[in-house]
Amino acid sequence: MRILTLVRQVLDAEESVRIRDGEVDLNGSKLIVDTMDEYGVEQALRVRESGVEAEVIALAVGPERNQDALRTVLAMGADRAIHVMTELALDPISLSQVVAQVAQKENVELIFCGGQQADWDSHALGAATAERLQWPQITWTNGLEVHGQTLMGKHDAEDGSETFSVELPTVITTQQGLNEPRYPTVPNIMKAKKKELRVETLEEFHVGPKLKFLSAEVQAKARLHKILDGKDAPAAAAELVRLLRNEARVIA
Amino acid sequence: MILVVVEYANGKVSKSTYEMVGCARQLGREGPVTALVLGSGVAAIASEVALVFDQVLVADHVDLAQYDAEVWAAAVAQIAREGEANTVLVGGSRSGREYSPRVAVKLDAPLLEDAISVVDANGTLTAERYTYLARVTEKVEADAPVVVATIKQGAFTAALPGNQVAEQFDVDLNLPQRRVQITGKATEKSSRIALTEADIVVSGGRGVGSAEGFATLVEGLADQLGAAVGATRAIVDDGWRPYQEQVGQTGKTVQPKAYIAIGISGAVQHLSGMSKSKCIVAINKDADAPIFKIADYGIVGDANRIVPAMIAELQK
Amino acid sequence: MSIPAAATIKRVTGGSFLIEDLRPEDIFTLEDLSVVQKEIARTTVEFAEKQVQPQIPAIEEKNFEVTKGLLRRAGELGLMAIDVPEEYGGLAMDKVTSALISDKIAVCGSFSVAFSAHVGIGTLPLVWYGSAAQKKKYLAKLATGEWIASYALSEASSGSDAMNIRTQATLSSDGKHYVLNGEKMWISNAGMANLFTVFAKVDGEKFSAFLIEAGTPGLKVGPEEHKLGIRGSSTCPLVLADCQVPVENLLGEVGKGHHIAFNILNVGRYKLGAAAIGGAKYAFRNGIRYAKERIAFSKPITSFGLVQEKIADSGAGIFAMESLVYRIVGAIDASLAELDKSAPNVTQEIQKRIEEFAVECSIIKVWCSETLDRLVDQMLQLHGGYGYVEEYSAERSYRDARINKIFEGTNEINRLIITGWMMKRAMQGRLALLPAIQRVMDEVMAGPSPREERTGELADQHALLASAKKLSLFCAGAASQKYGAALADQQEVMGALADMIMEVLVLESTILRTEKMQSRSPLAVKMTKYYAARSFRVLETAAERVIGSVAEGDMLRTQMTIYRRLAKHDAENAVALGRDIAAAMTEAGRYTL
Ligand SMILES: Cc1cc2nc3c(=O)[nH]c(=O)nc-3n(C[C@H](O)[C@H](O)[C@H](O)COP(=O)(O)OP(=O)(O)OC[C@H]3O[C@@H](n4cnc5c(N)ncnc54)[C@H](O)[C@@H]3O)c2cc1C
Ligand SMILES: Cc1cc2nc3c(=O)[nH]c(=O)nc-3n(C[C@H](O)[C@H](O)[C@H](O)COP(=O)(O)OP(=O)(O)OC[C@H]3O[C@@H](n4cnc5c(N)ncnc54)[C@H](O)[C@@H]3O)c2cc1C
Ligand SMILES: Cc1cc2nc3c(=O)[nH]c(=O)nc-3n(C[C@H](O)[C@H](O)[C@H](O)COP(=O)(O)OP(=O)(O)OC[C@H]3O[C@@H](n4cnc5c(N)ncnc54)[C@H](O)[C@@H]3O)c2cc1C
Repeated sequence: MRILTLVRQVLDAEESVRIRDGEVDLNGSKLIVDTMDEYGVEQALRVRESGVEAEVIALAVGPERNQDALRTVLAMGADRAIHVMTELALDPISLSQVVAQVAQKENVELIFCGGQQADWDSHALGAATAERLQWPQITWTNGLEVHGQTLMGKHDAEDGSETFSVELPTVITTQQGLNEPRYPTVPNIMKAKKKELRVETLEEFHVGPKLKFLSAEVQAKARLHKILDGKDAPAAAAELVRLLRNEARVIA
Repeated sequence: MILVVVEYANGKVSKSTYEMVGCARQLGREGPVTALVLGSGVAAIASEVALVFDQVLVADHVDLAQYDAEVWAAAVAQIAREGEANTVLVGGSRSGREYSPRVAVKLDAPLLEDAISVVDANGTLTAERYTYLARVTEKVEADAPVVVATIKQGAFTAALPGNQVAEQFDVDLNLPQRRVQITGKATEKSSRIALTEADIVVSGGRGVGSAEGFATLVEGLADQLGAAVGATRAIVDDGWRPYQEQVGQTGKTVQPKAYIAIGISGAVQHLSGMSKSKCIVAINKDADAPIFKIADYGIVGDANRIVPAMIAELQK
Repeated sequence: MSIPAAATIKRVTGGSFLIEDLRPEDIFTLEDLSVVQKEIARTTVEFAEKQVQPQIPAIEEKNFEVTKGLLRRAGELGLMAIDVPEEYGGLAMDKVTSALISDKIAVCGSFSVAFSAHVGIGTLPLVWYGSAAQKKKYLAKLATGEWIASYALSEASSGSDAMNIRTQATLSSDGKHYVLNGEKMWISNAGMANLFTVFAKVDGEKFSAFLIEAGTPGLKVGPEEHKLGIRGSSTCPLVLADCQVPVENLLGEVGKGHHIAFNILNVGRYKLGAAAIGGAKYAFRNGIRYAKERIAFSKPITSFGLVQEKIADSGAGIFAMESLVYRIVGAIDASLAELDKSAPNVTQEIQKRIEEFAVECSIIKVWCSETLDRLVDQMLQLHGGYGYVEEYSAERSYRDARINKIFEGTNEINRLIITGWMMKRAMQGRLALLPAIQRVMDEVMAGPSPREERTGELADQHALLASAKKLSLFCAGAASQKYGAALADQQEVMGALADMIMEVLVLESTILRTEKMQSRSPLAVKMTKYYAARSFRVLETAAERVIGSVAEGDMLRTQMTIYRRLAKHDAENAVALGRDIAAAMTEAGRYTL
């Protein structure tokens, strides 16, 4: 079985977001593999390690620096990587067109994709890809087992968690709780150097963006920062209750 | 027409439906603001929404008793196509955001996800949405004959029911086979007010110490205040609280008048679900905890001592 | 494993920076890291932030199980195998990689010291001097973190004066054991180590090293010290009472233990510098984040100039530390890359080549430990009263930094090494210092010479660097003229000369690194200018100290005239630069480029 695992390179959540000329400026910021995607990579590796004969292919679409992310994933253990190079920022609906084409060309049966993007806050890529391939999808997956052609597991739905069963081929979107992603070890980092990282260009896919980006701004709400010392608990509690009642007027 | 997919839960129309109508009305696009009610035994829902929509399309069918992304997407796309919708509005709930991308692909339409504002300028839609774990507000533009949008909960003013009753039409759907089998469900009912609709939310994290600690501190304070309770991912993962109470990137997004965080460190992923709250209160023993950076009020101290003192103070 | 960029790195001899000018492409910089090095750095950062950082409270409470678990985890990731040969389960990688690991892992002083003591002074003696049998027995266990290593040289009565140790070793009558007696003090990792490298004098005179396993009868680990900082690291005395060490555990040769003891220190010193970078970045980030949120006079305190000045000074300090450490470690790698790793004497050759950089290693040690100290002080200051209490990490960073001026050779000892080593090399004719001094003397005697015109963004800084080199040579010349070989007894002058030599190396590293970046970072240019201004003030102070103490009367006036001519320069607008630097750092919420 071939497994495609999507890798997006995003700003580390610990970094502050900087805006330049109405756009988020990633220059000089720490970029990482989207944590949500890491769960997918880890799960793909676990499927392979569980004895299922599988090849794990990582795919990234974006500027050249995305190869750093792919190298990380190769060092985690993916077998090979494909980088579709573009400076264009594709919205998830158009991005899914690229992913679906790669999936078809590579004959994959299982696709992992993060449940939510840490930069665009989007949930759409997995579902849109599934639709283009006419496959079913499972979102927010936090438990997964492969039994032959059947996938069984657990995911979060609107109000609570559900267990499911679905046949391959399928798109799985992942989230925290599915597994603990491994870090690349130094020996594996060295091995990854020799793995294939194929570069293609976006032109080959005939895909253009469906949304136009206009501007970005950081709107931080000014906070009061009235922080009390709690060494004298009753006094601090009384003062806080007074503030919430009389100043903020949020409690009766 | 502007097609709005009606959201409801436990036999009640959700607030998000009225917010979508509010959004549709202020958009002022061509055509009737049309409800699509999908489900089984949904006559009451249909009548209820008839008071705010221009027309109501109803697909009442046993096959629709249980939600399924592929089935829902097929239904919505079919109706949008047949009705030549220029706009399809879907709730920003978890399922709405799950099937709407499929609708967009079927209609070859752009998707505006989790919009907090939408404006029509000469047929082009401009939307604002939060990105970067809700730290940035981005503006994007969709220029296409039909646009699909999911609407963020709480971002739009809900439309009020009038005394005009819209006409209802039954629709026939070509539904695909379900391919995902749901083999079990673990839903916990809570007698408390819904997290996303509450004016005050009291939330607890690992700092409450244990499931029992949560009950005495967080629920204890919430009872005093008539508040909803929330939790961090850490304690949901630890099994102290059910997933429905999780606030954050992978849980619910809340925007109450007051959010009281007890023993919560304030990881970005948690903040992304509550940072837009009007007033944020933090109780944490670590003065360095990031939660204090976005707090309006707070106490640096042991929750086991502070919170009971607050409850006692409120009982006075 | 050689690094691709090493191909262009110029092979230099130790100390030559004072007399030779290099071009940007001659030096290694952090921007030259290979893909593999970056990837390893990333793994280390992940480990430090996700696994070490959350455990800091437990580490600080001396919960050694936690520390051992983390060391084990680091071993599993391969982070402790970098300097270990492949045939013994290691990875045998370059020194830049191992410095990067020391840098990135240093989010917690206590853990960082435990880690360094293990991979550096704990493991390296065995790597360099162990017999095949010893390596086979112990190295793989150390490389994986299954065993923890410790290095026991210091004693209560001899720390700096390490050759003077009193611990004795005597061969047993059956020739099977050495029997050790004595006491060691301040031994890092002692409370959790499985293997100790212990130094003792055979028959009271022949300085030698022994590998002693924990649990060996007669080896007792004393109680933990109560320390100012790095409280979570283990530091204990060792008591050796008729401790029987099998003869096969003699490390290296009898009477040659001092090579082991001292050669290891060079590596320890550059690794200390690398760790200082990591510790500085951690403290810097926490300081900035606090300052961004702290409101005083209705504004975030980052809007105040005197706060910005601290941020700028600290940021530029980090930039300079990085430039210095990676330049030197890169140069060491370039030198080692030429070696045939399968040659029989390769470990001796490795040490010789590292020893070549002894003066640079001492400079790294002193300069980085003092820059870190200054930085943690400034970051604590940004916290106001909150910097003085344990709730904030600024207090811990402040305490933890302090040890770096004491161990791996106190900064006094290292300052003496810096000047002493240069002078010794000059006297031996191995470093063309004397002709260079002569040239400067001739030049100044010939009267004012036209300035060499440099172009480019850093033209003024190049001019400062040229002046700095000349001033240093001039002062060194003046001092040796006055004292000759007795200069060694003038420690204050030696110290002032060391300060000048250090500033030359750091300033040059910073300028060349920035030029190698080719304007990709406007911030780097600003930090270089900012740092150059500060550096030159240090130089001037030191130069005046030297001149004032070696000359008097007319001679003093002549020398001061020469000094003023050499030191002539225009002032930078350090205020404006500082504001720009602080603004960029504040926006990023951490050190950035
Ligand atoms: C992809 C991804 C998605 C995620 N999604 C979410 C999400 O949706 N929601 C979410 O919450 N998290 C999410 N997380 C997890 C998040 O990163 C944090 O791990 C989590 O929010 C931490 O929860 P916590 O604050 O309860 O625990 P901790 O971070 O462990 O904090 C506990 C706090 O309690 C304080 N404390 C301890 N004892 C006391 C006491 N006696 N009195 C007062 N204070 C005390 C401590 O000082 C500390 O600040 C996600 C993570 C990832 C990687
Ligand atoms: C936390 C900690 C961990 C340590 N870990 C280890 C370890 O793992 N293994 C190990 O072997 N040792 C270790 N040490 C010992 C450390 O290396 C010594 O403390 C250090 O070398 C200084 O020696 P000392 O304490 O005897 O000071 P002294 O040598 O007594 O020095 C006292 C002062 O006099 C100055 N001084 C001494 N001689 C001269 C001179 N000739 N000229 C000018 N000034 C001079 C020194 O600079 C210093 O300021 C550790 C120490 C500490 C505090
Ligand atoms: C051990 C201890 C004992 C104390 N005892 C007493 C006591 O007995 N009585 C009492 O009343 N207080 C006491 N204090 C409080 C002490 O006076 C304050 O901590 C001090 O005034 C600094 O205020 P702060 O902590 O709020 O720091 P902040 O005012 O928040 O300052 C933080 C940083 O910003 C800088 N800064 C602030 N404003 C400006 C500005 N406008 N321009 C430039 N830089 C600025 C500061 O210099 C500092 O570096 C004590 C504090 C400690 C730690």
